[in-house]
Amino acid sequence: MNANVRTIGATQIIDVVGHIDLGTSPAFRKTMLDSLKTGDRLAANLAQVAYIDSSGIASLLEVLKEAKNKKKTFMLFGLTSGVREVLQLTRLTGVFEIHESEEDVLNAGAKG
Amino acid sequence: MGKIHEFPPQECRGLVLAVDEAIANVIRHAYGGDVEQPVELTFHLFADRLEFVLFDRGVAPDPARLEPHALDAVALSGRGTHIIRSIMDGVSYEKAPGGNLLRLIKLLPVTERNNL
Repeated sequence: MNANVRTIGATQIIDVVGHIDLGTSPAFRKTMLDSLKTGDRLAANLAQVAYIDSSGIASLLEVLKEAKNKKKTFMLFGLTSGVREVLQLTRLTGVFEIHESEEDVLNAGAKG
Repeated sequence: MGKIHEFPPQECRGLVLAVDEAIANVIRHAYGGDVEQPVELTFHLFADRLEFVLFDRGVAPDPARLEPHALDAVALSGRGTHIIRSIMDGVSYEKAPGGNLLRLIKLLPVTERNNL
């Protein structure tokens, strides 16, 4: 798994490529938490993530909790069917702010 | 195996995820996070079902952790077991000589059962 961070305006976007599982989720989690320290809006691009397990889901939840504690925004976008299915299985689709595309993420920021 | 037995793609992905979650639980709980310890996975095909059987030589699981439970909306743990139970038709644990057996059962699609 690779996770690279880029910044567009006030939003940091993490482009994730590969599987997020027990082996890769600690690095994924660290990248997200580090990014959250330096910005107020963070969005994970999951369009290149075909597979995520419960350890990856726990990492996303941890970042969401941290964002809420710090009154920051954490979003997901570009969900593949594999990722969407796991979020549905774990009943978390309503917990995260989910957008279809990067454009939607940036527009959501403009509206806010 | 899911593809061979005519499970739709979504269910095939589910089977992979459920077995993966079960192995991850063994690594986390039975072996305390030690990824070097062995987990034996065997696969059995019956007329009506698939069974995935995991054997480990670690600490026996807490029975309460294997039971179905309501999900806290933002709980960080317990989702793996929930995922396994959501995907599989049956989950059972038994103590075996020298270790633990976890059995995951998935019923075959009805059309496939009729063909056997």
